[in-house]
Amino acid sequence: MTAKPEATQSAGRIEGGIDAIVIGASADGLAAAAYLGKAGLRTLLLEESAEIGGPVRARDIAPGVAGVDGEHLVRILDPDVINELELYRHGVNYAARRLDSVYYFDDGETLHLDGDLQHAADLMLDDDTRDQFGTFMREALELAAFLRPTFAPLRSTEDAQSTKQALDKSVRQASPEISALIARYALASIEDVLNASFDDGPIKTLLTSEAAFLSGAAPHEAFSFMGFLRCLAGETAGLQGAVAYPDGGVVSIINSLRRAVQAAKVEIRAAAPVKSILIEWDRAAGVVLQGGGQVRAPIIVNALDASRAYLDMIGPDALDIEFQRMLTAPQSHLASARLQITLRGVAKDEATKENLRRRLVFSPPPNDVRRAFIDARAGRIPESAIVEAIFPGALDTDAAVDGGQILSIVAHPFPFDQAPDARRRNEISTVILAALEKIAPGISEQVDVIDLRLPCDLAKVTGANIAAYAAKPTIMQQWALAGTAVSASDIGGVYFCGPEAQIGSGISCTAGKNAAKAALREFKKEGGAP
Amino acid sequence: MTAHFDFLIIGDDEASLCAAACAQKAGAKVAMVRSSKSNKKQSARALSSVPNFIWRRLDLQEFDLTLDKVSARVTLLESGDPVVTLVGGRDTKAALANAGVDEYALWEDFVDETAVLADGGFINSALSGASKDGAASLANLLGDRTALSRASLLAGSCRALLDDCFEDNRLKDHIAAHALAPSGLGGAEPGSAFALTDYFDDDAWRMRVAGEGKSLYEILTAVCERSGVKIFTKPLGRMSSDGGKYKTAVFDDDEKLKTRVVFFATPDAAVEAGAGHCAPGASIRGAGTATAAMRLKLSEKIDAPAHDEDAIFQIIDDGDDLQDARDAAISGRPPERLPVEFEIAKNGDILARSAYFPSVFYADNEWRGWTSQDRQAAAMQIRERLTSRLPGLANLILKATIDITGAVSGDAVFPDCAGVVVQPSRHSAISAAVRLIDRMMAGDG
Amino acid sequence: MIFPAADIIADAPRPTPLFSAAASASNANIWTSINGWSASRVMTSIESEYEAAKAGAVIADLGPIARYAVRGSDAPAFLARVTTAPAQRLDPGDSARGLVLDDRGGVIDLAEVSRLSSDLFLLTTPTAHARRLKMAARGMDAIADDITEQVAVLGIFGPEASEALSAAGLKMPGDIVAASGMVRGVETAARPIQFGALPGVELIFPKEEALTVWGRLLRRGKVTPIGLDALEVLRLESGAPRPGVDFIAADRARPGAVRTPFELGLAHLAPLDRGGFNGRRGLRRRALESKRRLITLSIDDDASMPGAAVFAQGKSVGRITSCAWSPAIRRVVAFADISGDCADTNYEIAIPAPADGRVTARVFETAESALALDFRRSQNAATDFRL
Repeated sequence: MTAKPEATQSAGRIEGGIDAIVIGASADGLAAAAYLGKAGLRTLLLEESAEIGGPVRARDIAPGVAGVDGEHLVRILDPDVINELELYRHGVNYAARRLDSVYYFDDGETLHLDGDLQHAADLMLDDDTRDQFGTFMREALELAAFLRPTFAPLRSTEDAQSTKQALDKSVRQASPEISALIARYALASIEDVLNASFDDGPIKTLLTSEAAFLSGAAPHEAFSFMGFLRCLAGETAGLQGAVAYPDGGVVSIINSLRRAVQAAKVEIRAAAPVKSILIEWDRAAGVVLQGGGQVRAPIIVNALDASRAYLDMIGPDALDIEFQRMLTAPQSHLASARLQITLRGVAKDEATKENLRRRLVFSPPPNDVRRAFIDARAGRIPESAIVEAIFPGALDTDAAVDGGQILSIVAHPFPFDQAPDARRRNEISTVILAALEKIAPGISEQVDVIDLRLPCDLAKVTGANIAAYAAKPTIMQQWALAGTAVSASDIGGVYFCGPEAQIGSGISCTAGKNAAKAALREFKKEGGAP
Repeated sequence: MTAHFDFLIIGDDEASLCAAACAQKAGAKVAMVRSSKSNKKQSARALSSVPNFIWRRLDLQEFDLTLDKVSARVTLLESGDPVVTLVGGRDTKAALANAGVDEYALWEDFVDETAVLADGGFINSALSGASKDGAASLANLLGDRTALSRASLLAGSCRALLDDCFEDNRLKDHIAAHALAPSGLGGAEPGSAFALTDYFDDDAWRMRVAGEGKSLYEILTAVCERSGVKIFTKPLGRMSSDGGKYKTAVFDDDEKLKTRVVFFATPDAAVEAGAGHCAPGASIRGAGTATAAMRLKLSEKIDAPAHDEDAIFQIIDDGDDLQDARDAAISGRPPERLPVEFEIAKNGDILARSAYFPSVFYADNEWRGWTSQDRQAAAMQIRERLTSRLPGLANLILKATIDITGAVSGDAVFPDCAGVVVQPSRHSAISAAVRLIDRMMAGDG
Repeated sequence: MIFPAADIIADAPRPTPLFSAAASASNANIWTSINGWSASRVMTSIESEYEAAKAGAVIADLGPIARYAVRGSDAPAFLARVTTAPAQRLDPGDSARGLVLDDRGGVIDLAEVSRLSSDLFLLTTPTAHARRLKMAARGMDAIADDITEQVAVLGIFGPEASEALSAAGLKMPGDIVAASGMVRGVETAARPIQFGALPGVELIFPKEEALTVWGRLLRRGKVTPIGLDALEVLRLESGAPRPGVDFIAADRARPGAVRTPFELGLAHLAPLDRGGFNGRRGLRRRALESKRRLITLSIDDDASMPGAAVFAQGKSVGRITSCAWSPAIRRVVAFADISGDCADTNYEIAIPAPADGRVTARVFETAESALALDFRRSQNAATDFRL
């Protein structure tokens, strides 16, 4: 990255003349900065590490082989952000807008599903399954669309009311069936719902895996089904619930956001960690840098995790006790593992080549999925895991490696470890490779380099709190946490778009957009003239 | 002509009888289905409290009935003194101090806090399934920050809530054991915090029928009969619904009746009737495990731990046992360190119970039902846990019987769950059942 | 300091360290339970105790009120967070009153903070707040130790309080300075307190010495033991609302029952320009709205009851929350919770059968309402540009 390093900083120096400071150059931080800059505010983006992008970064996983950390697919990307920040013009281009999925089962069977879930049922052979699946998918997508306003992060305290109003409005228009379904599904587990809708079989197996993978929650535990609905509510490339792969990998979203930020004349300062936020009379007044200097500005948008943004940078004495308590999120026990592998050799036959351009999912039997979650929460490495694999080189020719393949994997669930030792990391890789064998028997022979990324690795690079990269809590807790964190304890001029502001995971940028828009509204109200 | 009813209450316990009698007296037409096997189990076990308003509505003073509050809740951990809490604040303070627990002030605040958490609340109404208007209540919840924070605490784990409040592990283990054990829940699961509010409900203190006299079960049966509840004592064959307002229940002998609502006064009754899957948020209620109830006849009365014969006792080694046990049970294995609760009946029998058994077993890559060996093993396991805390018990046992409920059995009687309502509470089952049926009659759902 | 509402279910209250002393002084022998402690309601008669307080000196067992010793480098910031008292501005010996607020600005409790030495503060609250104090201390270097059980506390009020103290050989701290020191070999903290218009001193000492100190004061100092009921009259006259009676703690209250300091007539205890107390932002949002008002009334009647309806211009506007016969004005003084848009001076109070009718009532100025009025005037005079 070509961000300007913090060279001019010196202790005791006070900078002024700035309207807004964005802390943290994650996707949301970048989006917020772009919005603010575009609106004419003199904006400064401060990033503590030398690179921007938060956990999403390009990195050589082997000599000459570039991998991408953080995410490997785009599941939710706010269409407003794409339009308003002109991300297409700034370089976003989808290599695949709607990836098909192929599910591999324990018994060696496979099932190919069209990326368009609504029409996926047409692929089913027998009538019963087709009907069950069709009805289920229609209902789930309808519910997800209905609930979409609730999954969007709030913009500010007052917005809790507007979310309610938006929902009230759709409640009035909704059929009584929808309303009854929400009452039924609000607390439901994935297993509750699937057992009621499906007979045992591959469809139930793949949906169990898919729902548990997307929501990150144990399929037998309360609230997990709502987590799944949240994923279906997301929109990518204009398509609800779709999975897309951008040219250049997910890091290309970051790159285009950076271009948007630069086009908006925002100054990006990397390697400039913030020590604390200056609060004067319950209003933001600027930031104190780790190096000792101060930058003064009336608007602070914080894209770091809530614990750092509030407890470390603002401090408990400026926060309300109830607010502080709600921020102390319960400790998560689960995390995903990210594995990037280089393989020797390339696919020869057409069928395999075709599959390389799809999303490959290993779906263990539902019992094994349940057991895996139980083991992971108890701190044991599970015997099997749900594995999602893609071949970036097949989707995007630029990512291709000569005479080999790069394979990108996300696997779930694993225990959330603060500092796993080499043996434990090894066990995790072994479980994932075993699952890969189900997808492509013999693949282990071709493995060249294995690169495992766990939450602690990401935290080491970004400086964030490790907990920010653990699996998210239940949807009910995410709602409460998002509402709390975004309210910023009502400190004037402070806006929040860290990971807690978003319901579910994945790059969405909605939180960044909302934080910036709330800041702009307030700025105009205060008489600021951008 | 098929008889039409407002409620069909399926169950054979005090909560079902109370709900039936109260609804009938309030003007509803109520039918009740009880299991046909003879019932011995209602006589000795402590039951949830009968609040005054039910007492008044059913005029229970006309019967010669005295109920005593269970004196204490006692947890027998692996080592150290028993942890004891009682009805009275002052006694609890002294008892906790006795066990070396110095957090009584926090305990008091925690009791108040759970009462606030339990008040109203989205999860409550969603759980009872009585509210049809899920979308509107969700909208209300999301619009109210305070209510949402409260709901999110209940949606979290019991362990997280306890960790937030207390430092003392013995106290945390004690609360978790008493709150979770009746439903076979683990302390780390989402939603397990909900059991805490139920446990701290005023009506959650258990009662025992004092002395000889008639049992509450017999008295309530008489009240139901007198008030005109139609009681069927034969097996239900199937349920069907034609999409209209009424569901049809068909008995094994082909007798039919129609009902607007099928009502289960306890989650256990729903499981027993094969309608466990109709309970919204089955996972919060600890579905998927079976309960073993054991009665041990002794040659002489045993010395009660903590010198209290009228207490309810929990046996756990440590708070994590609860989650480990639940994890094992839902994976189809009997737990290694089985949580067991027990009480000492008036006649000196020991009544022990554990809700942490698998409802189906998983072995050699196959699921299978309970066998007589499993029953024996379960009985052995409960006995071992009891003798670990009650020295000398082994030599006193004359006879032991075991009864398993919640095990997966034959066909599902309830193909679909429309019109089926399951009251979720286990701790304050009687008052919760009556309040729920009241709300339904008042038109909420 | 005010006693909170009596416990609804008095579950065998514990004796305070001064219990046996108070019990032997109590002829009437009427008791109640406060925070789980026994408290004497009447010693001899309400009238005689009241007269003694007005003309001489009275002694009261303040043991049931919650007390915390607060230490740590962040103790001032901690106290300034959890209460509205300006703890950071207190020098050793200083005391300040304040409120405990929740994040919406709702009143949870009253509070008094005294700085006993450079590193020791005393926090006094009518009810206990173990959980809240623990939560508030997170991330701060401050520890609040509940000392309620380790100490005996007595209050001496009345115009002759300081004579009584010195006659008993107890050195009176300065009029405005709290101090800790030794009294006859007993480690004691003393701090000046006000009970309405009555000046007084609160003595805090190890519970083992309870009877010695009480006995000494009674023998040498000519003080009259006073019970809760007489104190209640003094409280109403002074205009201090009683937690649990005149308002419900905001952390326990249903949404409609949450009251802001302004609504309770206590805005002067939570000025928005006073630093970083909890709930200030919530309060600022709600500062201008006043849905309800708690006012003091004098009622032309001998026996009004809490719960009686209050009328303004013929319309029912609220209810009496607490009241007592005041010998000083020969009327009933009462707190009434009324609708916020009601600004009348004259009201009518419903009286029950058999009399069945209404009696007139007037707004009654108290020491507390005078402070509130002063505060409002000063607020109106100054423009707070920081809001």
